[in-house]
Amino acid sequence: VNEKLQGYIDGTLAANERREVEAAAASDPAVRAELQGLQAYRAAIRAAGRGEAVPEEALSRRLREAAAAGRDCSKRPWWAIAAPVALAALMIFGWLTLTADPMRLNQTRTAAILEGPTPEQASVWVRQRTGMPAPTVEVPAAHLVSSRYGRGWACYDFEVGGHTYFLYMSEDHEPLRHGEEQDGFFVGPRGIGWIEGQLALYLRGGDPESRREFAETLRGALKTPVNSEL
Amino acid sequence: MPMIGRKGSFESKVRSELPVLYRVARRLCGCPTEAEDLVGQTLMKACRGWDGFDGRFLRSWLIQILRREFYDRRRQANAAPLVLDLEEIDLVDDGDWSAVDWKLAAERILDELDRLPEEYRLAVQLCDVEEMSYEEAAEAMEVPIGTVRSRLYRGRAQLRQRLSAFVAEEEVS
Repeated sequence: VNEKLQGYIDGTLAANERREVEAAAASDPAVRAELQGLQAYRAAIRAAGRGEAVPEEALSRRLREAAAAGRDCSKRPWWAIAAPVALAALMIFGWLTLTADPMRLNQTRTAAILEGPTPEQASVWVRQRTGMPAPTVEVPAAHLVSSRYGRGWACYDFEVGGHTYFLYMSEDHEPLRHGEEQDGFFVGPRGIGWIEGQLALYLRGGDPESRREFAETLRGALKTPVNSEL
Repeated sequence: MPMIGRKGSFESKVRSELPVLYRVARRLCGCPTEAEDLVGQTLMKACRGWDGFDGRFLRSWLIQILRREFYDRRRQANAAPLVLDLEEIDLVDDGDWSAVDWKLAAERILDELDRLPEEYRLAVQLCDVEEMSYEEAAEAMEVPIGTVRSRLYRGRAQLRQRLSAFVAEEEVS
């Protein structure tokens, strides 16, 4: 009923549904009171939200500044705009090439973040959202800050003794092969990875020594979900 | 720059959207100075991107730029993360809209609105305060229409619960 009433005040119901709500409100005092409550809510929140002071003068100045900056930009010859852009692009490309991580699993932007989950919640959430058999990771000394995912990857963010670590996971094992193999780990300049069942796991953050130590702890603490289809 | 066919000049078209942009920025930042600055930066970016704007839903397009700018800033400041996805939280809606005294001071209503999780707060601000359609809000928030509907529904329910509790406390005291 509540959903219908909200649809009614939002104007999203079809004509016959609107008539149903109106008939229910006319015959049932409880429905009528609820509808009136919702309408009063809409009026109150609109009045409160729109009643806030707006610094019109300052915003007009900002708009003039933005428009003037745009005009300046359009007056310049094309090469005066293109040259700095090309130079910046070249520098970024150079920097990315020099600092590229050959084992990087995270290739796409973050789609969603879950803050402060328990290890169990993080695992269930990633599994539900990505279909990956994300493990549960319980390490008493490590605080699980958040879990994240994007297309084809997920990540748990940990804080351990002042260091931040990022445990990436993906079903694509290939990037790990760029690392040097050492005792079942793939070690690169920026991270350390290993394969756990279907997943490639890749730990970044901290310094190489503490990272290796934490990777070993993690590897022993992973609990792969029994049923990954939720 | 821009005198662009049916879209008109940037300055004349965007002027009427300034109060909306500021109010949305205010809901996101909480602080008036920061909100003004966020709107300023949004306008700069919007002006630069005016040629690429498709002429549809100007308000949604501007709010989209504002949101992205806000999240970029927050990410740079290393504060909270990009998007807090709260879809898993179950909300039992057993409330009663008529139980709230809507003559409550506007300040109290806005305080409670500001305490809502960010995505719910934005849905309520766009749909209930600014009266944007689900479609426009979806465009501004870059989510499907169904997500706007559920965030709005949950945001309203939380708001009502909190304000009902406040009214009850007031009555007791």
